[in-house]
Amino acid sequence: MNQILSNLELLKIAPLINLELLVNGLLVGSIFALIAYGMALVWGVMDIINVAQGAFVILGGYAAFYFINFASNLFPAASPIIWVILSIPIAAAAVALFSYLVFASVISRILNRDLFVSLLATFGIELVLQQLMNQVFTAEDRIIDSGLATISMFQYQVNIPGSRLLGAGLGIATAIVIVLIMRYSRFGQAIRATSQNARAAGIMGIDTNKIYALTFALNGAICGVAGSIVAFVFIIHPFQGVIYTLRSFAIVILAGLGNIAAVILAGLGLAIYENFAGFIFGPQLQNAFVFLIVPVVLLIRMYIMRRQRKYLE
Amino acid sequence: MRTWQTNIATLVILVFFLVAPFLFPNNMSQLSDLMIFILIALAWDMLGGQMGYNSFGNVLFFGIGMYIVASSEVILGGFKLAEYTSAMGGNQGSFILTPSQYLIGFGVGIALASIINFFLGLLIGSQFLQMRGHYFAITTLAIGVAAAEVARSIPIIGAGSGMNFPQPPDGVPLFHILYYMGLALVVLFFIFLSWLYKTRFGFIMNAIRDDEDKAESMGLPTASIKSTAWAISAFVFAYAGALYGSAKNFIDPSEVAFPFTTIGVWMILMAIMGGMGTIWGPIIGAIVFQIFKELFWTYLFGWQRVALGLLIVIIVVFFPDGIMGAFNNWKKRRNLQNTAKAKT
Amino acid sequence: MSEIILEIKNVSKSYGGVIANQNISINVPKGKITGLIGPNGSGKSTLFGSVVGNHPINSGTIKYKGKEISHMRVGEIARLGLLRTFQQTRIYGEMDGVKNMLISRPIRHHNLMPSFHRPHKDDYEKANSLLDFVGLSSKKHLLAGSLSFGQQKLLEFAMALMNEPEMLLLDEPTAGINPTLINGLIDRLKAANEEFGVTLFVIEHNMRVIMNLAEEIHVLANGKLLSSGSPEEIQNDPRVIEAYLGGH
Repeated sequence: MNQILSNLELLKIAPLINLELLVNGLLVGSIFALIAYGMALVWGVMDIINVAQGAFVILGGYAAFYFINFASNLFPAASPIIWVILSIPIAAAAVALFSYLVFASVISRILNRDLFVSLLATFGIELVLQQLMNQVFTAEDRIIDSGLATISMFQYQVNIPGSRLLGAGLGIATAIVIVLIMRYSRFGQAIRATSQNARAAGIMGIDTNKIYALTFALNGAICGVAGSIVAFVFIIHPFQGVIYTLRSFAIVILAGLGNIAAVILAGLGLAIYENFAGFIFGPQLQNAFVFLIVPVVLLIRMYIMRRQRKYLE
Repeated sequence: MRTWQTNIATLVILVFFLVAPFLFPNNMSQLSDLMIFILIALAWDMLGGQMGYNSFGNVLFFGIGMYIVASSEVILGGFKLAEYTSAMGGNQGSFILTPSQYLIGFGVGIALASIINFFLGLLIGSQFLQMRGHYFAITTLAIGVAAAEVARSIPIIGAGSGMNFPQPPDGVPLFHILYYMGLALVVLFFIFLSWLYKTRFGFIMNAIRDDEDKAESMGLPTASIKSTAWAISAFVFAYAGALYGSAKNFIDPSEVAFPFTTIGVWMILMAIMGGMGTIWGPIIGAIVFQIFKELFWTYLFGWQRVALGLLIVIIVVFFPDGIMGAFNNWKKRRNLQNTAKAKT
Repeated sequence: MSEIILEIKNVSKSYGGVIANQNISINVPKGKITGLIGPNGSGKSTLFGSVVGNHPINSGTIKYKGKEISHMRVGEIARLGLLRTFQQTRIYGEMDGVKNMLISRPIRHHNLMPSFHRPHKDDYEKANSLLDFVGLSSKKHLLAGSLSFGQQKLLEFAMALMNEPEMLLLDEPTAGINPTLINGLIDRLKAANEEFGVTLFVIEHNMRVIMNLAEEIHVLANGKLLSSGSPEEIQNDPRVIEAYLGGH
């Protein structure tokens, strides 16, 4: 309790800490928002909750890690930042291909089943993938050095790692590309039509099965991008996927489906909330605050709907 | 299923379980795990299979039950919980219980755990069971995950480094006790459920699964039925958790107490494997699952979790009706064939 | 004038900005069959939903046996003996007809203890006799989900009677039913009203059915009460004819 009060006091005495927490929250949050957007896309269009989301991200991280290792050995003179940037499309393609295989083998068979089935099936996939990565890539922490320095301001009171800045920038750029695809391409229009009314879309001549496959692969690409960002901003480890799954989950619950602006806001908001909660209540409680927000938010929504005699379903 | 054949089969299985410790004295930990699995599969299916409320969060009661028993053993052994947990680093030697202290602590603890979790289940259920469908599943999942994180931050129960159970004193046949206590509740719970599913209470649980709005619009007391069923299941989960923790002799917040990636998924997998919504399904599912699991751990060591993940995917995607479902379908087909034959 | 069992007074209900019911007042006499008709989208089902507590109303009062019920939830209202059926049938598809019936035995209190009993012999007798009453005896051991739509409607009606309601709101009981069976159904509805004394309030699209069935009919159009009266009066009311034909 005293610790909590003194942490609060610290925020008051040194207001710049607030700024640091806020900026770091925004940067980290934009990466989470990207992953969550992929989850919301699959959830909204296909009615599938992809628990393997985090494992896909980690897989993307490994793809980027091995590509950069390989390429920088080949051309040791080049600046690492080039390889970091180049690793993004490579990881995106690799995970998109993998996602397509998962779709063809498993997801396509559970499309019309209960959402609960998708939770279990993708949990099984997550388990398989994480254990396979553990066997193949070992449990060693992997990290990519982007070569960017930490930017310090206000006499070292506000420190922002350059890699985070780059990661957030790349995340935002990816999000913009996806929004453009969703809004203006035929593929994006077909996805939106299918998510609104799959039967009507089918009657209008849209091959909904193909749309589902492409949506799932697009989510894979998003995870690949996020994974290569995570590889140089945080670390890559076979069992770390669950962090990203659960955070995306919380973000999607907060934001609802199908609205990218809401997903981005929720992603940023959650990261800021989590950073402050971690600072005030101690890092050991940071995760508890993230996960508890899901039942709390759902309970509040339930009580509001109850007044209209409706149910949260 | 109420023929003399099933009665005899039930009797044979019961006798087998009663003598199993003598047949397989070297597999007591697997056998006591099996009893725990049967309990949680039955308790999960009561909600998921019979009432249509698929929950991931029952590990909440499982873990709380475990912590209560461990604490009860420490406190009734005459020690201070805070001293015990803070000293667990190396000098476990100074916290020695006599056999009677140990057994009293265990007995009182398991009773307390079950009863406290029953009421906790009523309390939580009355709110969260107002959610429907996948929102309920998601919320319970989040609660299960959050429980582990919260437990990690409570120093008096060992926080992130977990909590050891007091060492069972020499001469206490721990696994035999755990096994027979598990078996006792399995038998009682089985009898209870066989009866419950034939009462109006059980009927209304089925009605909630098939169409809850309809049941409510007929004036049936759906809310209190749901909370009560959830509380009964919480009672069993706490009991099972108490046994499981005692068997592992150590509580890790996320690996043992609130293991949403193992027990939290296995309970569902066992029910699906055996056949959801049947009384024998979860029992058969638990037995088959335990055999699979032990085979994986023995013959596929290193790859056992990969195999387990594949098993989950295969069962959920390809065999959602489970063993009892396949059996009932086979019986139905045979009856149809028989009637067709009788007609010609 | 007989006793009023349901008094709907100045009830308005809107969804978002769309007004579904506007200032509707209807009295339903006890023990009679009352009809509610109107073109599609005129707000009939919304009014039913308001009465049985499916959704809150914006203004007005709804009194059942003199007691205000507009603030109550659907379960509480059902426990007072006021039930509805649905346009799309609502039955428990994974169970057979008898179990569907047994579940529908009324529970009029919050005490759970009575539900820890197996169904009594009387319950089975009552279930069987009601299934017989609606003509489903031969189908009673089939899964309810495997019955035809018309049979499901009959089952739902029997389930409602099993609940021993004083008043039953029927939402299009003959919609989707094979025309050759409709006369039989009308007969069953009348019999339920006469034998069991259940007050019926019926939404119906089939004019022949409602004219045959109801003693008094209320007509809704565009969310408002257009006209009320005996079947003859309604049939000859130019406003009603206008409302039904006006759109075409």
